[in-house]
Amino acid sequence: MTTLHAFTCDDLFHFNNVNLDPLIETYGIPFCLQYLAHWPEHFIVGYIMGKAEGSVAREEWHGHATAPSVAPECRRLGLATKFMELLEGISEKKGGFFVDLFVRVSNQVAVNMYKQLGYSVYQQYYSASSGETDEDAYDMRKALSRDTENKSIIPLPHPVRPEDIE
Amino acid sequence: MAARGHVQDPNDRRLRPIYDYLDNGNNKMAIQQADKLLKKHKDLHCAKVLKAIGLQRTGKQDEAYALAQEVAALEPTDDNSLQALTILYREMHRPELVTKLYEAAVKKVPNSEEYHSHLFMAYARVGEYKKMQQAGMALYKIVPKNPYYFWSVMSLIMQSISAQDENLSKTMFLPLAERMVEKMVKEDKIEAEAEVELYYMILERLEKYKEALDVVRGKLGEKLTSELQSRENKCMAMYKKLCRWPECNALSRRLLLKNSDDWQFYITYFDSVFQLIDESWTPPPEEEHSLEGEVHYSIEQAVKFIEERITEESKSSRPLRGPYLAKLELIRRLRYRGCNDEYKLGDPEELMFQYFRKFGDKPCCFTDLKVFVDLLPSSQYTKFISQLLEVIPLSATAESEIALPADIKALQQHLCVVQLSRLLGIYHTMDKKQKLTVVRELMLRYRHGLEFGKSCLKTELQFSDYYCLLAVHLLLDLWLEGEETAVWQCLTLLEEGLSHSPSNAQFKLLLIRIYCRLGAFEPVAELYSSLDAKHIQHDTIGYLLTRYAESLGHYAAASQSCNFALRFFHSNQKDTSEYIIQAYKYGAFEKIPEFIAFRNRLNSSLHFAQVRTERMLLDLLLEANISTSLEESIKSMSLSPEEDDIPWKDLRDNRDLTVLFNWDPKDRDISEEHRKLSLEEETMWLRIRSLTLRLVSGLPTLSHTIQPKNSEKTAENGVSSKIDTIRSLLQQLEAAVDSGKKFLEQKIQYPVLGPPPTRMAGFFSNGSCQCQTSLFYLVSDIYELDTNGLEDSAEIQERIGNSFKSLVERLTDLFNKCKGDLIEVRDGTLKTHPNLLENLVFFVETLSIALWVSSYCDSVLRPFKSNLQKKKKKKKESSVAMPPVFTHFLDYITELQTLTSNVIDHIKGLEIILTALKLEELSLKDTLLLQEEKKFTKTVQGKVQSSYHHSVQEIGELLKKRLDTIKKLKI
Repeated sequence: MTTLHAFTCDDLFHFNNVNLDPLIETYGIPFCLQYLAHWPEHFIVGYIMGKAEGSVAREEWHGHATAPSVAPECRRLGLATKFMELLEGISEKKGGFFVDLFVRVSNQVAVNMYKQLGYSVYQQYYSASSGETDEDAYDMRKALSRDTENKSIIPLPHPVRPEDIE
Repeated sequence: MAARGHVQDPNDRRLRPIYDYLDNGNNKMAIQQADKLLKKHKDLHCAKVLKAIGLQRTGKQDEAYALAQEVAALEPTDDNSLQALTILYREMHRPELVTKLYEAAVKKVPNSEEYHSHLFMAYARVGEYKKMQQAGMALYKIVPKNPYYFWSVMSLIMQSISAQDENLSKTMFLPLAERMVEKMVKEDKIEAEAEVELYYMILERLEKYKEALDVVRGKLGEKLTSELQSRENKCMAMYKKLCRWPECNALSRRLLLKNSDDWQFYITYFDSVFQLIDESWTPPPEEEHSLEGEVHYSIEQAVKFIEERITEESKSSRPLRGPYLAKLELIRRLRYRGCNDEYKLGDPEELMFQYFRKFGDKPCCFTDLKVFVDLLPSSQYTKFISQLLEVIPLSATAESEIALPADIKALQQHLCVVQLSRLLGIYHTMDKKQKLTVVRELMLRYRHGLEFGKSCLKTELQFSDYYCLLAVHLLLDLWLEGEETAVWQCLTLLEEGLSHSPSNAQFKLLLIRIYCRLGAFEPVAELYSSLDAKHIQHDTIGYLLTRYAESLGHYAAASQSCNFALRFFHSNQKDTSEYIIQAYKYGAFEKIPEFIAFRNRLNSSLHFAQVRTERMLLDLLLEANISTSLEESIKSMSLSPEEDDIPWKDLRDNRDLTVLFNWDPKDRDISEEHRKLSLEEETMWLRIRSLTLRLVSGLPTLSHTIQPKNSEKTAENGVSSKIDTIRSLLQQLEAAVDSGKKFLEQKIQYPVLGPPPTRMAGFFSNGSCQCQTSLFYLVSDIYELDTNGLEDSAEIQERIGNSFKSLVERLTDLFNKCKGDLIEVRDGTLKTHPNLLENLVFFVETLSIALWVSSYCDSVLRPFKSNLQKKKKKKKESSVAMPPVFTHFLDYITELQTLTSNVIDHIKGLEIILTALKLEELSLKDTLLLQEEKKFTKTVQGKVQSSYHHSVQEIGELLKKRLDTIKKLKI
């Protein structure tokens, strides 16, 4: 059975069954610790890492989901859905306008799942995720209640290259 | 890099190009530009620092340091210089210098918020908790911002954590921290969630659970919003500490009503119900049951509650597993208390059957039920399995004799039953023929199942992969029972599986383990790198590589895998400090002790200590006295025999020993006991290796001390203490060997997929251990000869002579243990002899030590000889007899040379045999093999052959280099 708890450093020693999947990126210690130091409440085992960023004035303050990952044998149980709901809930509480995430274009299963959860493709990036695998990625978004007119999710017409991201 | 503010300082403009050069990695130009600027503006200190950065990055550490100190001595207070120096010191790994820098700066500019805060962070980086506390307060006095105050409070907690004296921590640091927070509470100045978290942390550490609870439940607790159920979780933790079972119960009950699928709350719910029953708790009359509301305090209530959860579940849109598993858990607990059947919860067998019907098509069904199979009587196993099989919709087809699933769901259900069958031990009791029948059936199902995954991407797993894995597990059983062909079939099936499902980590891991067992490391390197293991995984699964690479003679690969791991461990220290500082900045206080514990866990990692030691031994083996002298090699590693940097008492075993799936019954699975024993064995072996390394590192400290006869005085100036060190290390080595031998007497057999055994058994049985210890004893004798001189040392000389003789005999014995074919064809199948390969590697290592000792001996004898020759010339007579030790040594060296040549010839022979081995001619007798399988079998055997070839080549090459060094030893 599953249970949810906030991520701790010791969990890093036990996530091999999740992270030996080729579509899951194993992030470096600096990366993980940075998330833990800055946004500890967004870090959940199973697991999802999240953060809050962006400018409030430009209505870009939002939650960002990094690496929602589930072990192969625990898939198809709605855990990812739960993770995303959690992050959306926390982002709502923090007054975010939307939640976004990056997903590799080839990861069709995930793209479809996010669509079912109400996410839509906002723009396409060329080669995302640490740059080691040259693969395009979608930036998918879902508007939160603060964005009453769903302004944040109007898709951008053109693909974006990594160097254009601020 | 450095701050480039909005206000354009002319100096900023001047420095800009240097920054740019540094940013672009153009260090030479940066240095030039800095020099140019310094000619015009002599006291533009920052330019000097930037130049120093350029120097540091081009490997001129000493110059860089000198230049930096020049500027630091001036106690600069300009932003540019301070930041550049900070960067430089960090790159020099001298964070303590940053503290000095800002200490000077705040003295000169006492009201600078910025410099004070830099000073705080500089202390944080080096863990100067007391000074942090003061710096935090100083900051708060300048600018009364809450975070500064709480930095100071946190520093007190850190002092309490790091205090050796627990009493001091509980009576001084923590109470002081508590008072500091209380002051803010009283003045109503608490602002942020982080501050409440900190307060809670202090009270918890003071074991003031009641007070902590009041904080969380009170007004301050309202601030705890961002973490999921933060308040509830904290309350629960405190209720547990306070043994307030009514509250535990009521709270978990409430949380389960909200979410009946979170397992941890069921556990607390059951724990608390039974605690309350045992206490015969009854609710207070006319009052609320507890702070958290209604309490359940009888079995009847618990049964009813769980049944209600199940009824509720049936109305939910998404099926929930929690309630059903909770019922099984309740049965288990009732049985444990000896009241199993009184409550009509149903028969576990039937409940598990129902569970399977509901969730059997989910991949997690197996792991869910695994926990509860001990509720089944073993006599019912077969019946239970056939009952499950009956409800799976399988249909017979014309082409196949077995009924197959028509869709993924049915396949998943069937897979679950196969996994359960293995767990219940049903396959283990079968005979060979039955097992082979099951293997064939599973492979048929595997191949059939591939149909459903035709559209799967390369990155996705095939639905039927587990069939293949389970078939391989059965074959592994057969192999362990002595069936030689089975292991080749394992590899064949796994390679076939991998070709269909190239991302399956389990296939790769199992292939790695089996190839290593067969002595073939070459395919392993590629498989491992395709796992894309990085960062923390170097610590958790790196052992898969480092255990075998060197011991199988793949020296280059061994170096590389040690390097990967070491790079990770070394960067850990720096990285974690950085994020400890970030945690202060963002107020993630509860993470700070966690980060520090994490850093310590990595620093005291068993694997880290192992790769550190093995890497140095390997470097010496490959280079010392070949490309550089032993002395230089040891110096460059900053090795010294006195120093032991391994935290023996705190070694942490971070290996992930369950990274490979298995479905074995409990009694065959990897147990806690296995882990404990394996850690014990690894530690013993590490001790032997580390002592060997230190002994070798002591050799050069002895050799350049040519002592005059009246050496009473010089004996005190440290040289005699060197030999004492060596002698004491040798004693320790003997003790370590003894305990190692005692350990091995237990004849522990780890499960085949459990922790790999160390090289210790081979080291003892092939005789290299005895050889190596005698070599170090020889060192002690030679030292004695060195101090006594040639006259009146007949007894020592004879002893040395005898040692030489017995060493040659022992090395020859060791060589004899390397003889034999590495791969042989027997009854149409291949058999490998990895132990011969491992012995060969030990031979090379032992010979290398023998040669290092010989060159020490050489350095002692050479001056004696030239002295004698001088005497001879003076006296012009031939009556000056050569002392026997010279002949002994010469004979010894000649024999070593002959022996090494023989081994090289033997290796050449092995190479020829390996090349000549015509695998195509292997009649793959097993006619049951499909054409497809035959293809994979050939690939597999080819890989093993090529790997052995590779091993033998690398070993041979190293040995040739060693042979060259022997020639230099003839005096």
